[in-house]
Amino acid sequence: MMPWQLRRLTDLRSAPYGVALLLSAAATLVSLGMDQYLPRTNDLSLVYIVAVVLAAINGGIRPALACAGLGFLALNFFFTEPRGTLMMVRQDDVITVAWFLVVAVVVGRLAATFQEKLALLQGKDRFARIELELMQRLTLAIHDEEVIEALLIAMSRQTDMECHVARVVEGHVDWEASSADVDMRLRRRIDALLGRSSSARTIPVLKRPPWIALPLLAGDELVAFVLLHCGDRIVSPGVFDYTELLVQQAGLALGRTRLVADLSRERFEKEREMLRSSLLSSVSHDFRTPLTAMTGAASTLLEMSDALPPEERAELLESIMNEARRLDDYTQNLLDMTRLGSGTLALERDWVSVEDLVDHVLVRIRPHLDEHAIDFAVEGTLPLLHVHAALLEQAIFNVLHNAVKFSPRGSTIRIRVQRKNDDLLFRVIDEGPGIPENERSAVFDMFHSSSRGDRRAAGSGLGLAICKGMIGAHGGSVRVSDAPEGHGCMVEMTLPMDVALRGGIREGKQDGDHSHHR
Amino acid sequence: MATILIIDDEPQIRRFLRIGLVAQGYEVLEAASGAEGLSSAALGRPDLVVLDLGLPDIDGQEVLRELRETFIGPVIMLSVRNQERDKVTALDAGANDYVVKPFSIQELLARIRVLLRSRSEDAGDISGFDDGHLRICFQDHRVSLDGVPVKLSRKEFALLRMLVRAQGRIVTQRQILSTLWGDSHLDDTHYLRVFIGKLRSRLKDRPGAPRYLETEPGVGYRFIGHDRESP
Repeated sequence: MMPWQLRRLTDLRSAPYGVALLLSAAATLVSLGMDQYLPRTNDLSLVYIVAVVLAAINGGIRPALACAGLGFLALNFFFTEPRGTLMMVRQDDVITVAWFLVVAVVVGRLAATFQEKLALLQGKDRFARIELELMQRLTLAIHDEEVIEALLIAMSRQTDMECHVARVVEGHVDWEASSADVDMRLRRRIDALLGRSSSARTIPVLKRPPWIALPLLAGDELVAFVLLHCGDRIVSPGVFDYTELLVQQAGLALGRTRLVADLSRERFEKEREMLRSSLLSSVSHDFRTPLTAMTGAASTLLEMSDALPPEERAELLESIMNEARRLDDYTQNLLDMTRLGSGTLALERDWVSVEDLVDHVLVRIRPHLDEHAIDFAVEGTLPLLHVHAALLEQAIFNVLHNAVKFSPRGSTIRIRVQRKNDDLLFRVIDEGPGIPENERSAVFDMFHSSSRGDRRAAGSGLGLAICKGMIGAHGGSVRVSDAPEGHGCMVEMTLPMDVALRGGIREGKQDGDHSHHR
Repeated sequence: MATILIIDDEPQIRRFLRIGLVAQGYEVLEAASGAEGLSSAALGRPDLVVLDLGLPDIDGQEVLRELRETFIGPVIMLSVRNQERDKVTALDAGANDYVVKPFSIQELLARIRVLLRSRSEDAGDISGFDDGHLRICFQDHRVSLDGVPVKLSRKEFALLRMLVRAQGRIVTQRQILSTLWGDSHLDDTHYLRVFIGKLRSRLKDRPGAPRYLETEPGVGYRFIGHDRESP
C-alpha cells in the first residue's frame, strides 16, 4: 500500500501544472453542480479559492497563479451574465471576479510559502536524524573502511540516488576497485583534475550527468570520490547541500581515524626503539663486563708475569677462561631470545630425570658463585620428564643465576622440586632483597632489570624473559613471590605433569609444530 | 705503600685488580657492594678508592656522594658506559678520574700513580713545567717551546696553568669554565674549544696525536706532558 501511495504522491508533485488544470476543472464541475443552490457568483468563487490553495500546496506559487487565472476565466465564462461568454454586464459580477483574482493570488502565495517551509522543515528533520545516525556510526569507526561504510548508509537514506565510492590510492583513483560503473569521459576528466590540482582542497564537485562526483577529504588528503548517480534528474540545491554536509562529516571522521592510526604507529615505533636501545645497552654491558675482566687479567699477566707467584698466574688464567664461558652464556641467551622471539624454537623432547637436570645446572653455576651455598632437595619421588632438556636447563640456570646475582655473598640459595597435583614445581628461593610486589610481573619482560639503585647495570634483563619463554614452550608458567620464610624472593616454575609425562603421546602434534616452524 | 679500596660487584674484576695492584706493592681492600664499600672506606682508611659506577645495591653516584662526606682522598671510577654525562656528573660530584671498561691494568696504574703523586705534592708548590722542549714558568708567566718564547694571552696562560697544575688528572669543562670565566658561563663550552684550539696551535700540539693537551670528548681535558724530574 505504502509504496503505491508514495509513488502517486511523487507523480502529483512532478506535474504541478496538470494538477492545477485538473483542480480548476474540478472546481468548475463542483460550481456547476452547486449553481442552482448558490446563484451568487461571489459564493462560487470560494470553491475556486480552495482549488488555488490546493494547487499552491501541491506545486507552489506558479501553478497556484495558473489555477487562479483559470478560475477567473471559468467564473467569467460559466457563471457571470451573460453566461457562455467572456463578457460581464453586471457591475457586482465584475467586482466579485476582480476581488476573486486578488484573494486567489494572496491566498495562493501564502499557501505556497507555508508549503515550502513545511517541506524544508521536514527535510531538515529528516537530515538531522540521518546525520545523528551517521555521527554515531562515525564515533565508533576505527578504520577508513568503517567511515566510508557509514557514509554510504547515510547517503542511501538521505537520497534515493545510487551512491558509490571510488578510493584514491597514491594520487590515482582506483576505478577497478570501485562498484560504480563510471563512463570513460568522467574518469578521464577526474584523472586529469587530480593531475592538475596541487592541493586536494582545490578539487571541485563535478556535476556531469548522470554522475555527481564529490571529493572526500581527510584534512588535506584526498581519500576518495563519492559518486552519486542522479540520472537525468535535476538535484535541488537543498538536497545537494545535505549530501555535501554528510561527506564533510565523514571527512572529519577520517581525519580522526588517521590521527589515531598515526598515533598507534608512533607508539609502536617508540616501543621498538626502546627495545632496540635496551638491547644495545644490555649487549654493551653484558659483553663489556667479561671483556673487562679478560682484558684486565690478560694485561696483568703480560705486564707483570715475572712478579707474580705461579698460583696467581693460574688464578688470572682461570679468570680468563671463566669470563670466556660467561660471554658464551650471554651469546647463547641472546640467540635463545631471538629464537623465542621469532618463534623458530623447536622442542626436541627426551626422557630426563629432574636430578640430572638440576645437577647439570649446578655444574654450570659454580663459576658464578661468590661463596654462595646451594641447597638442592627433591620432595618425594618424581617421574622422568619428557622435555627438551637443554631448554629447561637453561630456564632453571637463568633463575638460579639471577638469584646468585642478587643475593649477598655467602648466603644460601635453595632449590626445591616437588609434585603438586598435576604439576611439577621448581622453586628457587634466595636470601636477597626480594622483588617489590609492583615489579613482579615486569621482571619477565625483555630487558627488565630492577630499577633500584644502579641495578640496571647488573643484569641483561634477558634471563627471566628467556626462562618464561622456555617454560612457556613446555606449557608451563613462572611467577615470583616472597620467600616462604625470612626475606628474599622465590621464583616458582610450574610445569604441567601431563605435558611432562604424556609428552610422548603428544609428540605427533609437536612434530607437526616443528615442520610448521621450519 | 698506599692502600687502595676496590668497590666492584664483579668478583672477576676484583680478582685481577687485587693481583695486579698487590704485585705493584699496594695494599688492597675489597668491597662487593656500595654499603660494604662505604663501611670499608670509613674503617680501612684507604688512600685511594676505585669505584664501579654500576653496583647492585646503591647507585654508584650515590656511593660517591656519601663517600665524599667522609673521604678526602682520590677516587677513580670504573664505568662500562660510554655516556659522557655519567662521567661528568661523577667528576663534578667529587670523583677525580675514571677509566672506561674494558681497560688494561697499565691504564689504571697510570691513573693511580698520577693521583697519588699529586696528593703527596701540594699543587700550589708546582712552579712550572719543563720537559726539555716545553718550559712553563708560572711566576713570571713565561712559556717557551724549544727555546723560542711563546706568546700567550692572559686567559690562555691561566688555562694552561690550570691544566698543568692538575698534573695528568682530568679537568672538566665545567671546572675550567667556572674558574676562568665564572659560573655564568658554565654552558659556553664553545669558548673553551676555541681557547684550547689556540693553545694547541701555540704549543704546536696536534689534537690527533697530542703531546701535551689531551681531549676527553664531552668531559674535559688532561695535561699529559711529563716533567723532566718526575718519572
